[in-house]
Amino acid sequence: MQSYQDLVHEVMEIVEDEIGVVDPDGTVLACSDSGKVGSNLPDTILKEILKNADKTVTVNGITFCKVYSGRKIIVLTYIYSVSETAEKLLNLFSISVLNYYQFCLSRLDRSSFFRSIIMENLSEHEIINRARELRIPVEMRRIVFHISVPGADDSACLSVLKNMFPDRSNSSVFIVNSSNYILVHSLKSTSKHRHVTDIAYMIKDNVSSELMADTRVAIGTESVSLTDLKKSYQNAVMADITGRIFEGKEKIADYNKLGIGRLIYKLPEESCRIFLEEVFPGETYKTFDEEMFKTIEGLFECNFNISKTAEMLFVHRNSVIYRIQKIQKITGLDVRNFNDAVIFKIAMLVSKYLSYIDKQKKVD
Amino acid sequence: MASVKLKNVYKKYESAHGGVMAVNDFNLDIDDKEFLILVGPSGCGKTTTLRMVAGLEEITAGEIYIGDKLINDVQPKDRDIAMVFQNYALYPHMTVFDNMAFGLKLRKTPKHEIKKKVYEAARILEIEHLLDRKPKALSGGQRQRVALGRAIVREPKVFLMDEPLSNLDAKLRVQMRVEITRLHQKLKTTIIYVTHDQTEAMTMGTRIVVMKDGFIQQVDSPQVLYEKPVNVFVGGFIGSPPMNFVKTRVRKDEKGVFLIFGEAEGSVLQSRAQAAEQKLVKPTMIYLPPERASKIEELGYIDKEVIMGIRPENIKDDPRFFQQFPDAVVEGVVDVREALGAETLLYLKISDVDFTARVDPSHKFKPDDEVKMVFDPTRLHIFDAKTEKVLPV
Ligand SMILES: Nc1ncnc2c1ncn2[C@@H]1O[C@H](COP(=O)(O)OP(=O)(O)OP(=O)(O)O)[C@@H](O)[C@H]1O
Ligand SMILES: [Mg+2]
Repeated sequence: MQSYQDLVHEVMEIVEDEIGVVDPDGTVLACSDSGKVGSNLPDTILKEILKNADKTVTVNGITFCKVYSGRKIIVLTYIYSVSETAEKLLNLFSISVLNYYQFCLSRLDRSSFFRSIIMENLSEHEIINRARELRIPVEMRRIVFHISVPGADDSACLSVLKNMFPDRSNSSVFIVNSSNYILVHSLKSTSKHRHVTDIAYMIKDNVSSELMADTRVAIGTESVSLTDLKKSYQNAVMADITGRIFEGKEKIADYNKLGIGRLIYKLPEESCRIFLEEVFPGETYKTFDEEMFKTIEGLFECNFNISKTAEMLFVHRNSVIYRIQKIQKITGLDVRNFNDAVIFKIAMLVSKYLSYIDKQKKVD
Repeated sequence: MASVKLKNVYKKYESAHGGVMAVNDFNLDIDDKEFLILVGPSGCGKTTTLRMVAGLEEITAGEIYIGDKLINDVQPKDRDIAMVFQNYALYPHMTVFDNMAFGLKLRKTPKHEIKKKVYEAARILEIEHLLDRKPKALSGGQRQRVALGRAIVREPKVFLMDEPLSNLDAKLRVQMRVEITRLHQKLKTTIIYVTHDQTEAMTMGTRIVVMKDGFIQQVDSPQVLYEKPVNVFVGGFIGSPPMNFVKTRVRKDEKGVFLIFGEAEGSVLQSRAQAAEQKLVKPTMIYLPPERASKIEELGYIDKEVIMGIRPENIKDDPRFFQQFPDAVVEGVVDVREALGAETLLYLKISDVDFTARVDPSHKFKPDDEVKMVFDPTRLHIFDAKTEKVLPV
């Protein structure tokens, strides 16, 4: 247990005698002489300590102290010395050990509680009761972020995320499965959605640069109560998937801004195929290139003003017209016309979706 | 410290409809200790290029070297690279020291080494006096420096920066541009810096790569890019306000070779009514200096269409130019006058085409005034109308 060892390290700077932490079975968990970690106390000594009802016991020139949580011994501490001062020091050290133990426990409980809410099927009743025990407010604005960092070391990644959000009463970070993490973050009553997006970008950039790993962040819906936190998580996951299908480049997927992708994602595959065949008979869409797609996007953005579109795309006005005519020749759709442009745009998205489905089928 | 070399690098993002060629046959040698800037409009492939160097994006074809080492198959974290992005986050509960030390701790660097590296970085960034502070107690600029410090302590061979300043307010951005340039001089290491802002590129870079649609357009110093753009795109992209462009025709008469625009075209086909409806536009002619004239004639451009480009500061109202270039005087109408203090921008209509001129603030003209100006014919950029490439004239 690395953490007790850290504690010992700090105390070592004050205390000269050997000190250590032993678990109730006699295994040394931490010691100022780090070579002893993992070794075992002789059984006879252990028995003698446990038999004795006193809290501190001296055996063979070593002072031991039992550290209790309730009526259970969690660990023993010891100092290689016998004196009044040594005993006092050991008692102080034991208090730190207990504090540390309780801190870990509560921390563990908080994030494992959030984890259970999200991953398991807790009843509303259970959620509310456990929240009360852990003193976590039930009603609160919270948002779930789904963070995926394939190719990074899990513990390093958790460490980065936890240190970005160190305030445990407002944030909880845990791992769902290898490379996928969840951040549950509470929001002030005045926070705007912009703030949520900023957090997502910050996570992406910070994790990528700390770990030199590709990072995607998906944003779920805002939940106002612990009882709807699971829904927020599910929406974050859906945003992640839809983001991968329709956006590609964007590393941030926001459930609240899935746009048309949200609808298409829910359409039955069969309808999609029929629609596509209707708009682009004979799979003509496979001959489209990115230029055409960009042109359409540009037209939408510039309110169908061809000169402005040309300016934005840094091409000549005539090239825009040429591309429009090319699309018309292949599809019969005149994308200068708003209705045709909408059909074209949806068809492009549907074709992305279908190619995602096809890819999934290949994987399965 | 190391050079970086990209050799025939391509990146294709696969998708249902053929995919996007985000980066096309990218070839570039970046010297050791160079500050190189990638600039271009949104979607031109800057980030993709940077991510390929970092190893965060697989390359479709080509080779990337750091130093002499081919790194195509080297893991990102083993490439000895540090990245700086726009949305940095400092760890709120840690001191500046610990913020800078954190990444090293993750990499299990020994304690005494961490200390040495953090102090060294703090010295370079001039933030030694802030090491005990928490991020909350820092100004925006100081935070930005701590963020840079986190990359510096790693002592990478190459820094990759993707628009690191674009989230800052205008004033801080200008200040940080200077600081990053200075930092580069102190660190003596290779930096590849991405921005979509040509002003930023021009003020920071010693060498700039201008990209468009995944293709490198031109690689040169800011000065050369400005004075000798190789095509219409670079001419229009670099410089603010941008270069003026107009389609002109090359013609020749007894006086010499000239560019003309505003000619009535296809008048034969027009009915009288149409002609009457259209207001009369007087054509504008600019005679080229003899040397340029003979070159363009040699290239066979007489009677052909070309694109003429002229920078706002090369549209002159200074009497000296009227004397020197009497055959390059144009007439126009002032549309809008924008006084900027040190200079004045005039938005003109010349033969019904919009032009922007940058003139001395003493210029007295008001909107609707008719003005005469000179198009400095030695500073005209002439591009082929189809390929949009500059003509060697
Ligand atoms: N993961 C991806 N999947 C699909 N297409 C992508 C992906 N990443 C980038 N692209 C596309 O590749 C092209 C280049 O994108 P890139 O992000 O490199 O541009 P950029 O020059 O950095 O632009 P910006 O100034 O907007 O950041 C764009 O057309 C973009 O849509
Ligand atoms: Mg980019």
